[in-house]
Amino acid sequence: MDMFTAAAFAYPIGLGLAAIGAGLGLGKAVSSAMEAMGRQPEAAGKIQTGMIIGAAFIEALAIYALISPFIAQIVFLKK
Amino acid sequence: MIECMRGLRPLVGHRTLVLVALVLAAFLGFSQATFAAAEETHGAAAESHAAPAAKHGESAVEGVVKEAEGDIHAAEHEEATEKPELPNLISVLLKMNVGGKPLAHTPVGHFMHVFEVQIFMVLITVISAVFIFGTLRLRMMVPGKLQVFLEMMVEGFYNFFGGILGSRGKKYVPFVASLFMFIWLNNMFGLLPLMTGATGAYETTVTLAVIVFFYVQINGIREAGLWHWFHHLMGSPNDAVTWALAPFMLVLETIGELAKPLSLSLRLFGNMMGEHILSGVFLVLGVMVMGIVWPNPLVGVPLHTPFLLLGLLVGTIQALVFSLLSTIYLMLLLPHDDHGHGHEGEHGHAAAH
Repeated sequence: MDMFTAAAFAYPIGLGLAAIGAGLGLGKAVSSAMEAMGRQPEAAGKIQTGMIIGAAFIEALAIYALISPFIAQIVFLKK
Repeated sequence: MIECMRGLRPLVGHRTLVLVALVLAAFLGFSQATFAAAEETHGAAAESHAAPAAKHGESAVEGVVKEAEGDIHAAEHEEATEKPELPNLISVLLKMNVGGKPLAHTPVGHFMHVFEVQIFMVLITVISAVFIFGTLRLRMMVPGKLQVFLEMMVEGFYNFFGGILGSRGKKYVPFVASLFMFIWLNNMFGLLPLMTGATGAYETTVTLAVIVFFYVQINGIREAGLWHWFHHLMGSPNDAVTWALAPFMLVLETIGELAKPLSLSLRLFGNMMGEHILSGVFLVLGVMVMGIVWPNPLVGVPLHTPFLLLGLLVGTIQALVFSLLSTIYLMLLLPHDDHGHGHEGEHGHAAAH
């Protein structure tokens, strides 16, 4: 198997794994935030802000997996 | 921002808003599909009798030197690395023939290709600046809808970012609000036909992140003083154990500080580029689907329209997240007396203010 075939198999699998992790994390974060908002609707704004920040951090992990193929593509193909 | 949305709600009914958004998205999708089809058929014709035209997908930094040489291998590799994106004014123009040869091979075309994203960035900034200054100039006794809207936005920014930064951080609100406006406008303009946003290019996001990094560090030093800033960077040691750990904490915190601009820029870039590629792929797919029943189609099926609606959401959220995280990085380095984080060494400093 040459390098490109290996990469073609590895990237989707890696992205899928990253998506699983990010999905689990986001699900947990958002469900907790929703629960908290349900318990304390008057604090909904603050909870939402915190949730968005946390979601951005979690989501960034999946985004790294998404853009690493493109960076690798640029790095390897520009030689 | 949220306050301003809440204020707008009674003005515009939900159903009308959704309807307008759907009609707008359908129109945008349709017109973009038209341009994509034109680009596909026209581009194929242009490339058949000329060398492969210069394409985008090259970073402007190294592109300037590399492309000037114009060797065949680079062009071939570029062909392979080209990302499917929505057609914009420059990419359409570059495919056109001027006096027998493609515009991409002329000096003007070369300049437009290298600085493609930056041209749009300047355009968007000028448009929004003219709009905002034009509205500010009015100063009517009975303000119009536009002025009320802008004032509501400014007030919303002050409430939202000022609420996080605390009473002494109010003077930093214009910076983060400008960040939000710049990113948001770029994201929104990127959805219009024949336009593209500058946030989909890594040059732009890394510049923004580096600006935020230096702004935050310099203001952190200026507000807290050099020693307190360094103390914070060592993990705020106050007894023997934490002082012993301070060198390790210093390394750790320094890496943490340096990782912030990296993650900030990669997040925005990844989101916007992912969205551009997603809609670009579906746009090309739509043209191909139309090609089954109509060879060399003039319009494509606007299959990417749902992703434009998604782009509306993602663009707003990412603009919010970028400016919100900048605000929080700023807040973490400012001496926080009214947040009750329990830093022992800062009471004297807080009393001095």
